[in-house]
Amino acid sequence: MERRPMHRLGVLAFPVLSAALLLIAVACGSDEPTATPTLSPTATLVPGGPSSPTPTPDALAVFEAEWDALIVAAQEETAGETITIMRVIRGCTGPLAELFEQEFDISLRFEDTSVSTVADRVLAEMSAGRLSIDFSAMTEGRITDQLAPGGALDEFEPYLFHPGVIDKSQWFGGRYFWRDVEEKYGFMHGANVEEQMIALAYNRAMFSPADITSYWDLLKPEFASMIVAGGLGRPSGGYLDAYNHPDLGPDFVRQLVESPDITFTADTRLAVDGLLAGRYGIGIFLPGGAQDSLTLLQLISPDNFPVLQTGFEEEGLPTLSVKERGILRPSSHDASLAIFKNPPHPNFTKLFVNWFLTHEIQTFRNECLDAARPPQPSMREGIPIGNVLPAAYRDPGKEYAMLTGTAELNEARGVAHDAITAWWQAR
Amino acid sequence: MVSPQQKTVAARLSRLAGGLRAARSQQPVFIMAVLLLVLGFFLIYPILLMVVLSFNVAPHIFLEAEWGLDNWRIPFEDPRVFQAVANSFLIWGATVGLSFPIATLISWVLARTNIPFSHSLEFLFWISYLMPGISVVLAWIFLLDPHLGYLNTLVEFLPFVEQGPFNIFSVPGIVWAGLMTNGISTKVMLMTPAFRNMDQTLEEAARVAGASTISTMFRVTLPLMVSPMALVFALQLVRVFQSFEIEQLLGVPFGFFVYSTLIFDFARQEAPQYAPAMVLGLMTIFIIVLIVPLQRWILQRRRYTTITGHFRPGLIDLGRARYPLFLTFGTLLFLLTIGPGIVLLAGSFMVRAGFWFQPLITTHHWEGVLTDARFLGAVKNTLVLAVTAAVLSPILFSLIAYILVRTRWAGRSVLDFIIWGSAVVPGMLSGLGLLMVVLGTPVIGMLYGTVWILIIIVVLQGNTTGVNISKAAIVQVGFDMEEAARVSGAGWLGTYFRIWVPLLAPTLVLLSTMNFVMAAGATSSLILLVSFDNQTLSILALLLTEDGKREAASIVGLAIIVVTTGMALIARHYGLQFGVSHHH
Repeated sequence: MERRPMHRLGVLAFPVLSAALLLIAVACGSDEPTATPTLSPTATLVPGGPSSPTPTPDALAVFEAEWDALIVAAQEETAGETITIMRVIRGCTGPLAELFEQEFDISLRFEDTSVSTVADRVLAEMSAGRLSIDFSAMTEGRITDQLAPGGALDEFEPYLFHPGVIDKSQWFGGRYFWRDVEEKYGFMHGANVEEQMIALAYNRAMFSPADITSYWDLLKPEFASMIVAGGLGRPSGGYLDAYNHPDLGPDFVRQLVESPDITFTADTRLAVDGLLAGRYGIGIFLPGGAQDSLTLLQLISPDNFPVLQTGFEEEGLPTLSVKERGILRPSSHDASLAIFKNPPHPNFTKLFVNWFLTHEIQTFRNECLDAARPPQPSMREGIPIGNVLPAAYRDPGKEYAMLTGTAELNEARGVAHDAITAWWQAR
Repeated sequence: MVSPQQKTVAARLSRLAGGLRAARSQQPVFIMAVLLLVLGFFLIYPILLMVVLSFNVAPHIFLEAEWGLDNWRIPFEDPRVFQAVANSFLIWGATVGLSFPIATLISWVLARTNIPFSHSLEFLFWISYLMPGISVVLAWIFLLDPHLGYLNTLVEFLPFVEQGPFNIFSVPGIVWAGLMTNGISTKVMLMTPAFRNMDQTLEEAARVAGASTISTMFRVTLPLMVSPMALVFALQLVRVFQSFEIEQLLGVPFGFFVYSTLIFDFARQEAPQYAPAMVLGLMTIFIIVLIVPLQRWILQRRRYTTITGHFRPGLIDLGRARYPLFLTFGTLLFLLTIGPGIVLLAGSFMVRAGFWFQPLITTHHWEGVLTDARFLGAVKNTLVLAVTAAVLSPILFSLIAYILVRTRWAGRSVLDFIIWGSAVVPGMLSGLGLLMVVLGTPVIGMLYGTVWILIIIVVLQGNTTGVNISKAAIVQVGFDMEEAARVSGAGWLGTYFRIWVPLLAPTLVLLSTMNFVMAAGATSSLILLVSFDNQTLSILALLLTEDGKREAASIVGLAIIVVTTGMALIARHYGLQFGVSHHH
C-alpha cells in the first residue's frame, strides 16, 4: 500500500487552506528530494560469537578497521551539527552523552522528554518526512502497539557488530531479550531484581510483617478493608506480572481486582498518605509508583515515618517478605532501546548503540545510576555492581522469574493486558 | 489651454486615483482574507485534520492510513463514555449553578455600589483569577485531603471525632475546588467591567419612578446586562467539555471521569488511542450549533447598547449593608487567594505536607526546585510566552471583534465560526493537530522546536473568550461617538486608536491579563510541542504533580503566582489610567 502522509488528505478537505499552502510552497520553492543517508559499508559480522568469545587477531583487525571507518563516517555524517539524543537511560543519558562527545568528537544535545512524547514526535516527524531523532528508550506498549506495527522501527540486531556486544554469551541467559513479540525492535539492556513483583508497604503501627508471608495472604477477608492499592483501572505493571507469574496467575489478579473491600486509587500519593495517616495498614503499589516517595521519606527521617517498603529498606528494620520468587523486571521507560526507521544519522546510531552496549560503557552505566531510584543494572554479565543497590542486582545463585523479554512472554503479557482491562471495566 | 502632455499626466493621475480608490475598496477583502487564512490555518485546519484522521484506524494516526469507522464505534462501546458525559453535566451544573448567581451579585456590588474598597476587592478577584489552578487545587488538597488534610486534622482534635469529615477527592470536593479556583473569579472579571460601563440614567429613572435598589437591579440592571451575562454563560457552556485540571487531579484518583479526563485517558495510555480520543473531542463541536446562533442573536440586538455619548457612571448607596457585605467579600477573598497562598507556602516547607511528625520542616523541596536547571529555564520561557501573549492578543482580538460587530464585510460569519469552532477542541487534541500542521508545512516547520511556535499558540489561544469579550464591550458602545469621529475625518485606524482604545481600555487590560495568565498556565496545548529547552513553569508543575511531588509542585505554583501577580500589578497600574474612570 502506498504510504500517504495524513496531513495532505486534510489539505484536500480544506480547499482554501490548500491554496494558501500552495502559495507558501511556491514562495519557498519546491523541496529537492533529500538523499537518504546510508550506512557505511561494513563487513559481515566480525568474529566474536558465542562459540568464540575471543576474536582472532585477524578478526580483531577487521573489526578495528571497521570501527575506525564507522567513526569517520559518523563524524562526517554529523559534521557541523549538534545531534539531539533522547533518553537512553534515566539519570545517565547526560553523562553518557558527555562521554561519547569526548571520545568521538561528535556534538550531542540531550533532551529529557518523556518517552511518550518522543514517540508522538517521531511519528509526526516521520509523517512529514523530516525525522530528527535516531533512537530512544521506548516503552513496551509503544513498541508493540504502535511503532512496530506502523513500520516506524528498524530492526535492532543488524546494527550490532562490536564483537563484545554480539557475543551473546556475555549477556544474561546467553541471549538477547526484547520488549516486542517479534524479538526485533525493543532491545532490553537492563532489568532490576525485584523480590516483590507487586510492591508492598505497611504501617508499622498497625501491622506486623509476620502476618503476610505470601501474596495470597492479601486476599484474606480480614485484611481487605486495611488495604489501599494503586493502579485503579490500569492493566499495567505489577498486575501484568502477577498474572503471568508461575506462583500467582490470573486467578490471583482477578480476585484482587474484584475485591469490593479493597480501596483502589489511581493516585499513588493518596495511597502513601493513607498509610502515613494510619487509614490503611497495607499498601499495594505498582512498580516505581511509590518508590520515590517512600525512599525520600526514609532518607529524610528513617525512624519516624511508619511506612516501610521491602527491597529498598534501611538495614536492620523489619521487613515484609513474601515467599513467591522474585522477578527480573525491565523498567517500562528506561530499560529498552529502539532505533527509528531510517534514522537520519545511521552511522552515528550504529556507533552509539555498539559503544553503549560494550562492557566498558555498561560498567560506566552501573556506576552512574541513581541509587535513590529503582536502578536498571545492565543485562550484560560480569559488570561490576557500581552504584546499584545490592537488592536490585542479580544474584548468580538465585532463580528469578522472567515475565518479559521473549516472544512467548511478551505475547502472554498481551493476553494479560486484555483480561485485566476487562476486569477493571466490570468492577 | 491644456497641453497634450498635461492631459496625459492628468489621465495618469486620474487612473492612479482610481486605482487607489479601488485598492481602498478592496482593503476589507484583503484584511478579511489574511485573517481567514491565518486563523483558519492555525485554528481550523488542525480540527479538519483531526476529522480526517479520526477515520484512520491504523496503529498510529501519523503513519500509513487504513480507513474505517472503528474509531467512531469504540467510544460508544466503552461503558465509561456516557457516564462521563453525565458526570460532566453534573459537575458543570453544580459549579455554574452556585457560581453564576454569586458572581453576578459580586459584580453588581463591586461595579454599581459604594461598597468600601471596591477597587481593592475587585483587584483581589483578579488575583484569585491569576492564581494558577493547579496550585490552588494543591492547596485545597493540603487542606481537605481525607488522610492528611489540615482541616481534617483540626477537626479530629474535637472530642468524639475519629476522622475528619472532608474529602476533596469527591464530587462535592470537585465542585468546591471549581468555585475556589476561578469558577467565581472568572465570572466576576468578565461581568464587572460590563456592569461598570452601564449608563446610570436608566437606573435613576427607575428609582425616580419609585423602584427600590433591589427592584432596580432585577428590573433594570440585569435586563440591560443580558448580553454579557449570556456571553459568560455561553462561554461556560463550552467549558462543559473542556475543564480538565481539577477533575484530573481530584476525580481520577477515585475513578470519577468527566468527558475531558476520559479523552485524556484515551490519549495518555501507554499506547495512546488518539483516534478515539479525537472522536470524543470532535463530538463537542455539536455544542457550537447551539451556542453560535444564540450568541449572535443576542449581540445583534442594538437595544443592549449601554454607553452613549452622554455616558455618566454612578454608584448606588448600600447604606448599612456596606460593611457586612465588605466582610463577606473579604472572607471569600481570603479563601480564594491568601489562604491557599499561605497553605502552599507552608506545605512547601513541610517534609510531607499535612504530616505532623518530626522533622516537620525542611528546605529539601526548595533546594531541589531551585537547583533544578529546568526551573530557571522555565521561568524565562514562561515570561517570554506570557508577555508576548499579553501584548499581541488584546490588539488582535479587539480588531477581530470590531470587524465582526461594526463592519458589513463579507466573510464575517466564517470568521465568527472560526473563532467559536476553535474553542471546542480540547487542548491536548488541538496540540496534536498543531504538531501535525507544523511538521507538515515547509515554512512553519522551521519553527518546530523553537519558542516561536509556542508563541503563536499562546497568542491565539483564548481567542474565543477574547474576541467575544471585545464584542460584548463594543456592542455596548453607541454608534454616535464613532460616527462623530468619522465625520471629523478620522480614518479606520484613527477611529480605533482614538475612540475605541480609550473606551475599551478596561477590556483590553482584562484581555491582556487573561492572556498572560493563560500563556503562563498552558499545559495541554503546549506539551506536545515543548522540548527540554523550552519548558514552561506550568509544564514543570504538571510533571512534578504527576510524580507525586506536591510540595515541589507548590513551589513552582508559587513562582507562577509571583509572575502573574506582577503582571496584574503592572496592568492595573498602567492599563486603567486611560480607561473610563470610576468615580466615587
